[in-house]
Amino acid sequence: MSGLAASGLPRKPGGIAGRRKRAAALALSVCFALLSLTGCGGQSIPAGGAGNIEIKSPLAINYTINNPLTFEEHREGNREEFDYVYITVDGLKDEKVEQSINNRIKEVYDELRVQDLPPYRGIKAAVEEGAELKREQVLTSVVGNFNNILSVMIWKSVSYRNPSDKVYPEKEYYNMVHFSEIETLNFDLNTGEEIRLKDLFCDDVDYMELINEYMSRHLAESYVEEEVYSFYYSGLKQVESFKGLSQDQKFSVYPYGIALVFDYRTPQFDTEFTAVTAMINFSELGDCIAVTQRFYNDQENIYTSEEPAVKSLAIKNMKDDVSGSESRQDGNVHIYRNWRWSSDLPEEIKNRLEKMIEVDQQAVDEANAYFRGMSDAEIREIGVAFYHISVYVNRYGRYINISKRSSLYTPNRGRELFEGYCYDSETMEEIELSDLFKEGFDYKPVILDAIKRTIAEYDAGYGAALGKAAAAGDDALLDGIQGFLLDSDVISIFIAHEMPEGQTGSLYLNIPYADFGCDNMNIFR
Amino acid sequence: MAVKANKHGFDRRGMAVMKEERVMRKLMRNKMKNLSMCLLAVLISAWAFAGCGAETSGLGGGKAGAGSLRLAPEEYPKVDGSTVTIPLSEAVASAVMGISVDEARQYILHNKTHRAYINLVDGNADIIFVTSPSEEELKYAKDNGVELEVVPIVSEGFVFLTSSENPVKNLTLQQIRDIYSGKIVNWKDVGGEDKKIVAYQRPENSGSQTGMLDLVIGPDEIMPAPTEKVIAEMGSLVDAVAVYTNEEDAIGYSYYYYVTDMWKNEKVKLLAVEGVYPDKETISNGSYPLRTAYYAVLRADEPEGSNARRLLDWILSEQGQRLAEEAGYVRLGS
Repeated sequence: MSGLAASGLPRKPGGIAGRRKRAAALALSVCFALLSLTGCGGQSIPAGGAGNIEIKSPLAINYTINNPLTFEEHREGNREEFDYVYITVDGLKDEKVEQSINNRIKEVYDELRVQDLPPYRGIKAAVEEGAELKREQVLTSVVGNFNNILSVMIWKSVSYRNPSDKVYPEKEYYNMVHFSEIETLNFDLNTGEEIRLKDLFCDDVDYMELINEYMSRHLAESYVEEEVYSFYYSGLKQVESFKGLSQDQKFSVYPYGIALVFDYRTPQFDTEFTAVTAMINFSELGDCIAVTQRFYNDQENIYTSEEPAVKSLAIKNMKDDVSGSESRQDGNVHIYRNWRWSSDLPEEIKNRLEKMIEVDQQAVDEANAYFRGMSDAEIREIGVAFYHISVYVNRYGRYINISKRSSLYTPNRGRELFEGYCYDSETMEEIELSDLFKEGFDYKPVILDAIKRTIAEYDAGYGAALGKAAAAGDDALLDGIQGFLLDSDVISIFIAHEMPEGQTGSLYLNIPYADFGCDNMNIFR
Repeated sequence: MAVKANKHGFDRRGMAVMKEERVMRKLMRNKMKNLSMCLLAVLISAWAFAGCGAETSGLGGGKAGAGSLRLAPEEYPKVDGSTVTIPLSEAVASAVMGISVDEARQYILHNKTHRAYINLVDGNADIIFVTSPSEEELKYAKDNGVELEVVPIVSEGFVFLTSSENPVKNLTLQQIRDIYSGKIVNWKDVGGEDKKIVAYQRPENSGSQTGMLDLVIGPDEIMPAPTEKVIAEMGSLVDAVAVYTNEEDAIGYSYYYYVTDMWKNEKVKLLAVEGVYPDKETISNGSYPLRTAYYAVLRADEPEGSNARRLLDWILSEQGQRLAEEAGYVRLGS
């Protein structure tokens, strides 16, 4: 993206005709191939072809840029049994592009509103002649709105009652035939044209092979050919060997991955009468996703809004192969521990994690001391103590978060503590709050403002305790920060606080990156 | 069934039937017990019948005229079945209704094996295409006073797979049993390299695991399966049977129908058992020792000449068997 800007070559994806009729797509492919051969393809390259600029892997996606669009819902139904909602998009400078997108959304929505039976396997055996339509919903939602990509999902859900079906008045929708359909639309907002699956990938990778390998692996892991098993893709059964996805595989684009849609168009799977989606995180396909380089150009604002860009850290899947849980009793203290992280982490971090899940024996002994001298009946009366530790690791963008929650509750007091530690995956060094911001940017007022607002919103008990810290001054408030974690759109900050009657706890607040201004943050490099 | 064979055909079949019978007896060993001895006789005689029909065409016979069966959608019997027989059921429906598979598919509803048996017994299905009945399903039929007629319609092989890098090409049944009981733990003991054997299994109650326990090694002899943590509901981690990974030291198993295409890559190979490599021919002719079948099941009181019986005859005909083979299944024994 920045490289492009520096080179002064703003990228304009070309386009193919919007509708994905196979024959048309094939014909166009042939046309493009011929144009390429004759050297005349310059202005007619499809989105994803990238013209003279080949997008090459590896490309890491650490963040995405939110599109400043607004959406208006148009409801045509009664909100209950028969509910129909489509959306219109507003906020593009190019009104023709905007209109074409809105027309296309309405067109597909209208097609779905037609009351026919989708050709699912077995549907004509399940829905009898004379069956009554009892419920129908056609709802439209935006699932991806980033990097000049707009991904819209239109979902239809229908219930029929057969003449022969027994009616259970207390269970309105019981004993009916239910089915669902999903239509997806993925727009390149630069042109209004629809994005193909291949457009999401770098030009130098075999995207279909990548996805098929991923699918094969996960289908095998899910035992989807076994009738009784379906761990991963709920509701997806394999009725024949997996032969790979077709070129016109239906999909949606999320800021963090691709959702594949399986339904009657994918008969190698049995989804019964339901459209099933399977999400593949971009990070699971390798550094070959071109959703930024192909569609986004930070030198060109295609929106009517002049507000600064709001960015989100990309969710990255990590291998969670180091995990465990423990439940045991030490005297009158019930101890629970849960942990999960990746073996790929550096030894130094793993050693730290091992220490973090250790039981604080002194605290357990102190808790047991509370019960000393009590009879069993007395302990039953007042209850035992509970000690809990959970440690998890996740990753957003290039940042690895370690979160720890620990708590100890005895009948007379309780304490709960949240801790957050953040590492830069490129340096594997722990980062401080100040590292998140560009030099010279004063982030503290934003945090203080958020803390004070949170104090004001909390109940009197919390407020009284925190109010003391607030009275002690801004520095005292900032000193109370125990740690932070980075999420997609917010920083989570933890602040220890005392509560009435000997209780201690952690207050945490989420501050949107937009409150700081994404351009003031180092995390969006 | 009105399938007849001449003497030559019967003799030739006789050997195949003996092998089928052996496998079938083993397959049903843990399920049938006293409850199902009568049914077993029906099943085996049906298997023999199916096998004996080859004479009429040389490959698999059927009623005269069965090949020309044509039923309108409204005449088509109410079918049900296992997930694994869906492509067969759809291909048959397409051919018999004279419409495309995409269109025929809409009339074919398979509710998985157990539900299909229940639907057949309850009278909600006329014919089902399924794996062999469980003890529970046999009991349900008996409790409801329904006698089942179980007829093999296509053959199936139980196969073992390993990495193509593994030099071992063949295992005896005893070696397989010893591997899965933990007596043989190193590939060098079966002619391979000095590497520990990782013997993957399948989840309990899955079709493949049931096949393993029925055809190869009993539940009391098989060793605990390797497990791994998997993410279950609500993000929690649970122990699950580890998935076959195709490392050089791995061995796994499945059914031929799934394995042949699913694992059709150069990194995986099937192992011969007792010197016989599993393929359509060796499974069909019974020389591959781990053979089972998929079945059509009807209520025994299904009237002669009914569309369900006509459909079964058609499936057993040369035309039906050829269609089954085109759909990826292994035709009945020749």
